[in-house]
Order: sequence, then C-alpha cells, then structure tokens
Amino acid sequence: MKTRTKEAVRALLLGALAFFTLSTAAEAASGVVRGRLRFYQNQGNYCPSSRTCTAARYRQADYNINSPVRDVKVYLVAEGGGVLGQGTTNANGDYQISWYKFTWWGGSPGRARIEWYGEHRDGRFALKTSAGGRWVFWTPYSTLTDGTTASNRQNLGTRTWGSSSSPNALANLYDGAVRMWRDALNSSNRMRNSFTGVEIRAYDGTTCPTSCANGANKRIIIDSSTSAYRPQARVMHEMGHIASYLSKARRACVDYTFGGNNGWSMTSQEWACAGFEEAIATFFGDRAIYWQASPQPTSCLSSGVCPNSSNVETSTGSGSCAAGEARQPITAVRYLRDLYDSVDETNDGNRFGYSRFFDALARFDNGSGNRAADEPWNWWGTSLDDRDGRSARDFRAHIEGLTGSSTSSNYTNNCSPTGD
Amino acid sequence: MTSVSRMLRRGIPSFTVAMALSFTGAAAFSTAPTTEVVPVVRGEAVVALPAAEFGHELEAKIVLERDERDSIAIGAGAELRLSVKNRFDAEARVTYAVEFVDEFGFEVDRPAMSDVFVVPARDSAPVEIELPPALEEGFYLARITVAARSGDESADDMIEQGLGVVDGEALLLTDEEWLEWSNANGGF
Repeated sequence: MKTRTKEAVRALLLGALAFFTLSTAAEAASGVVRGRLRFYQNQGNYCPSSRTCTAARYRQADYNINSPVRDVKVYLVAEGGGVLGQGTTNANGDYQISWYKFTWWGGSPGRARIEWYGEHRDGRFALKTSAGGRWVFWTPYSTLTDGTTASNRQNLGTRTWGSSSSPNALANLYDGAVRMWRDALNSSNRMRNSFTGVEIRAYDGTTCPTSCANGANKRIIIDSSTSAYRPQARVMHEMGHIASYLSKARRACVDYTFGGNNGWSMTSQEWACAGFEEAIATFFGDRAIYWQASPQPTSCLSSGVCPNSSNVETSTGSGSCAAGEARQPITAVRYLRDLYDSVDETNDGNRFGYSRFFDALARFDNGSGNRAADEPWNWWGTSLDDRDGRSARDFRAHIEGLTGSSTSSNYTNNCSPTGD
Repeated sequence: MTSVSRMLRRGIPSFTVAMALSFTGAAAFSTAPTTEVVPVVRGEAVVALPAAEFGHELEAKIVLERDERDSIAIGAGAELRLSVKNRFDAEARVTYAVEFVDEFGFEVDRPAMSDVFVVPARDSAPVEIELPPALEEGFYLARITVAARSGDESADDMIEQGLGVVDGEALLLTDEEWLEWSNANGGF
C-alpha cells in the first residue's frame, strides 16, 4: 500500500477508534432507593380516650405522633433538575423507587432528593396552591449509589414534615383527604368510578371564607391553614359535597338565609334544601372517623375534640323535639346516621351500607319536580322557587325506594327533618 | 447573603390570596341554561354565589383576625396586632396562647398564655403579640391559638403567621409565601 494511502487508512482507523471511545463515555447509572415519609399528626376530631371509641378510625392514640404520609406519589429528583424515577408510598409511608441516569464514563450519579406534591397515588385528588399550582414537599439531597438493586436497596431514611412545636398544616390537610378516601368514599363503587381528579386548593379565604366545594369543577377550596386541623368540618365535609354532587349532578342550594341568619351551623334553622345538603356532606365526612358500630359519633368544627353535645347518634326523640329542631342540619344528620349505624337498633331498625346513600342520591330524577334533583329551582333553573325541596324527606323517599325498607321510625325518632 | 435577602432581591412574586378563580357558575354546568345567581348573605357581606358552589360552611364562633399590615419594624415594642371576634350571642371568656418557632420548628421564645378576658357578644377585642427581641434575619412562624367559652359552648381558632425578617423588618407572609420561601415544607 502506498504511504499516503496507509496514512489515510491509519487516520480513518484512529478516527473510528476515537468515535467509539467517545460514544461509550456516556454510561447509565441505575439503582433502587427506599425510604419512609412521615408527618406530625395534629388534626383534631379524634375520638378521645374518655369516650367509647368502638369502630372509630381516628383515636387519641393516633394524635400528636409522627404518622405516615400515605398513598402519595413520590419522585426522585436530581440536583439541578430532572426526575430520575417515581413511586408511591404505602400505608406505612414506605416507598421504593427504581432510578436511571446517564452519566459520563467513570462519573457518579450525583445527588438527588425526594419530592412529593400532595398527589394521591391513584389520582383521586391532589393538593394545589390557591392558583392551581403545585406544592412541593422536599427532602435534603442524598448522594446516589450506583448499582443498587431491589434486593439491595439504598436507604434514604425516614423524613418527617413538621414537629410538635411546628406541625406542617399542608401535610395534615393531605392526610385528612387520604383518610376521607380510605375510610369513607372508597367503600362506594360509585365513588371508585367517579371520584377522580379532585383538586383541593389551599389556601384562599377570600373566595371561600370558610371553605367551599364546586361539584362540577371537582374543586375544593380550603380557606386557611387553621382548617387543615379541622378535618371533619372542612376537607372531609367538602369531599362529602363533591361526592354528593358526583352521585347526582344538580344546582346547589344557594340560600342559607332562613330566619335571617348568616351561613349555617349544626343547630341553626335552615331551608330544608340547604339543611339536607349540609347534612349529607357532614354524614359522608363523619364516616371517615366513625364507622357503623360507633356508639358515640360526634361532629363539629374544632381542631380539638368535639364536645359531647355534638353527638350525632343521640336524638331528642319524637314528642320532645324543640321548636325549630326539624330545620336544624344536625336533625337530618342524625336521621342519616340512624339509617347507617348498628347502634340502638331497637329504635332505629335499619342498617344500610354506606354505599347505599350514594345510590339513593343517584335516584333523584333530573328536573325540578317533586323528588327531583333540582326541585328547589324553577323549571328554567334561573331562580329558587321551592327552598324546602330536595330535602331529607325527598331523600327518605329515594332510599326507601332503593332498599324496600321503611325509614319512618328513623325519621320520626329524629324529629322529622323538614321537607316537602 | 441570607435566604430571605436572596428571595426578596430576586423579586419573587407574592402568592396573594386575592386572586380571580375561574370556577364560576358559567363554567359549572355545560348543559344547563344560564342561571341567575342568587344574592345571599355570607358572614357580614351579601355575595352572589354561582349555582354550582356548595359553600357557607360552618363558621367558627370565635375567630382570630390577622394583622393587616405588610411588615413590622423590628425593635422595642414590635408587635403583631390581631383581633379576636366573638360570634356567640352572649359574652365569651377568652384566652390565647402564643408560640414562636423558626423555619425548622425550633422554638425561639418561650410559649406564653394570656390572662382570661371577656369579649362582649358579637364584638371584637384587640390581641397584641409582642415579637421576640432581637430576631435575626430568617424565617419564623408565630402561632396564636385562642379558646373561648360562652355559657355551655366552647370554640377555638388558630392563626399561623409566617414572618420573614430582613433589614430590620419583619414581613408578614401569606401561607403560601411561608411555605414557598422557608424550609417549612422540608422533611428532615
């Protein structure tokens, strides 16, 4: 071969060698990490040790301790950006993430941290900022170890959000929503089919001074960090409104001015539509804490323990009802509770499964006629013309139609909630 | 340069709570006819609610209201000026507790509790909270918890007020500013 040809071939070979060397300089690092996420539990409404807490799902022993961040999507995020892998936490707050990252030959995979954003693992709901943005919960960075496997995982440790001196309100809010899903709504096939993609926006006390829910948009607004510690009357109740709406879409009862009062309470007198709407949302939410056999379920707005007077199992009883008691939301709550619970059955006589209540709501026909979903509204849906419509009385007709059981004694024994 | 200074010099926009939300009644029902909003009374104001919104949730009988200022000059006499509103129909006996922690949850001052005082029915009273002396630059949280009793009824409320101390001033942060700017959302 001539010298110039040899030189050309030599250059070509060297070039090829250089090319292959460079192309294999980028490698992939990979591994498996594990860890545990916790938060300091500071939500109120637990069943106190001073009461009988049979069938209570949240008890005093669960309060003010480090608790798992359950059922959340978690991400392994590289320092400088980029998601390397993702996973979910289980009931213990444990996660495992397989990760993969390109590195230069001989380089280390660098550092990464765990981030979570308040997104439920199955897409049931997600925490958002008041503008619909993402909240970021993060951990310090850890140096990743290349080559770890599922049987030899790298432990990133246990990370805790909040402490006894400084609880993290958002983490508590997320837990309240998880509890509502896990211990209440998940019991309904109807909700398993439809309760998805719900946004829980925190915090906006201007638009919703005491929290609110929009069923059509599947959006809840929590007013303030204080409400994060009042799960029963806030996030659980609002999720109850969404669930009620998803069972049967309808126009809201927008008039809460019965008797000239502003807003509502468990013992205020209300138009029957508003009273029932609040009662059904309350009942749905209360079940996240008190199941069927609970002898002393309570329901209130508090970041501590509900008082004995907020017991929703106890009823005044037929013949001794106070004036106006029929219009109080707590009256309708007690009626609903009696249909569900297995307590004091000699007077109650019914024990319907939680899922039946969603099914009964679904039986409301479309339209504004009697027993229909938009009964409080006129035919055109432009104004209210029957503020006592779509009441507990109407619900009674539908659940009796669904179950074939009379609820007359439950109704009258709980001061016959108002309705037409 | 501290984290607070860097944050402020970058001009990170505040996350205000006064924002326009898009979920009005017009967006709520895709198949319903145009629906008149019904003016109702919410709190002390008459507002019009869209037909798809479930609101008017339970109001607390005792309410702490925030200091409306944007910042407080650090120094002798620096204080948070809140108020407590009694929504009971009778006078209430009230007390409150104050805690100050830093962004990592460590106490910066001993917790304090007020004497019991009386607030007339449907009336308000000022709550003045002295800031810890000599706060260094950084992020802090003031947690004020109030408890009230009126007759046989009791109620409670709480405010968490984030503070960003820089250049001799304590900025009063919104909930979102506190969580976004401080280490409060870090898991340790």
